[in-house]
Amino acid sequence: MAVSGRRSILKMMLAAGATGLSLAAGLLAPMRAIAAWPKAAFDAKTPKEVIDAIFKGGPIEKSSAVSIVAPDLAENGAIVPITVTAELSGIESITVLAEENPRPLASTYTLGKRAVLPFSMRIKLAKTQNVTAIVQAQGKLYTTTKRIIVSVGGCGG
Amino acid sequence: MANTMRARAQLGANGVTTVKMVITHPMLIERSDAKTGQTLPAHFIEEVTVTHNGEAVVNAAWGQAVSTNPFFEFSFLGAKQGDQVAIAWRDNRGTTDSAQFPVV
Repeated sequence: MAVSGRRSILKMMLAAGATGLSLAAGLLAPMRAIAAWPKAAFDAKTPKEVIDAIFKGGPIEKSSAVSIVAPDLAENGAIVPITVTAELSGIESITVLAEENPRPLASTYTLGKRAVLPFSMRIKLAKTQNVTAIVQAQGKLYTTTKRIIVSVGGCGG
Repeated sequence: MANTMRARAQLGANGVTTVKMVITHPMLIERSDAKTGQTLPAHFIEEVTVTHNGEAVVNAAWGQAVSTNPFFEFSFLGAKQGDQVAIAWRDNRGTTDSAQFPVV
């Protein structure tokens, strides 16, 4: 695999200030080599299937080192702000599940060495449910959960 | 293609650059047409990549549960003012867009 070739093309494109599809292709190519979009995990219908698809049964420790900051009550289930933070070093990935959504996996992030938390995003919640974050740090998995009450479900229409 | 992204990359205390971004995208879940009952396919961003100095900062894989016009905030170390942060996305139809933003 011509990793050095791809990286030098990427540097040339960034230096030239290229925009549009060519830059997008150049930027996406190295990431795709790391991890293709995990279709099976995103199509999984239960949290257990999601976890099996991504983590292949590794033990997950409930930990207060991971926190989810989110409203206790979400007025609009279509836009629920979630912030994940963790007092852990060597964080490699973050995975967010909405446990009772039709497809529980909301997002998963692979972190480069220089990325730091917190990460914030907005997700759709179909109804009142637990939102779970799984953080992988130095090869180990840590998780926490927060229950969010939803007034108006966010997956309809 | 018109640029679909707005972002601000702010260098703060302890050398941490915080990036806040919004992408204009419908992020539609798979749903039924109310009149015909036909299944309308999902249309959503699957991948977002962020690069700084040619190095991957974060790779996001998103599903249908990410909200419309997705907002995303994250931080990273090792940037200085004037550096470029490059962000690219690809959706499940193969549509892509990308842009660069300076660290301020």
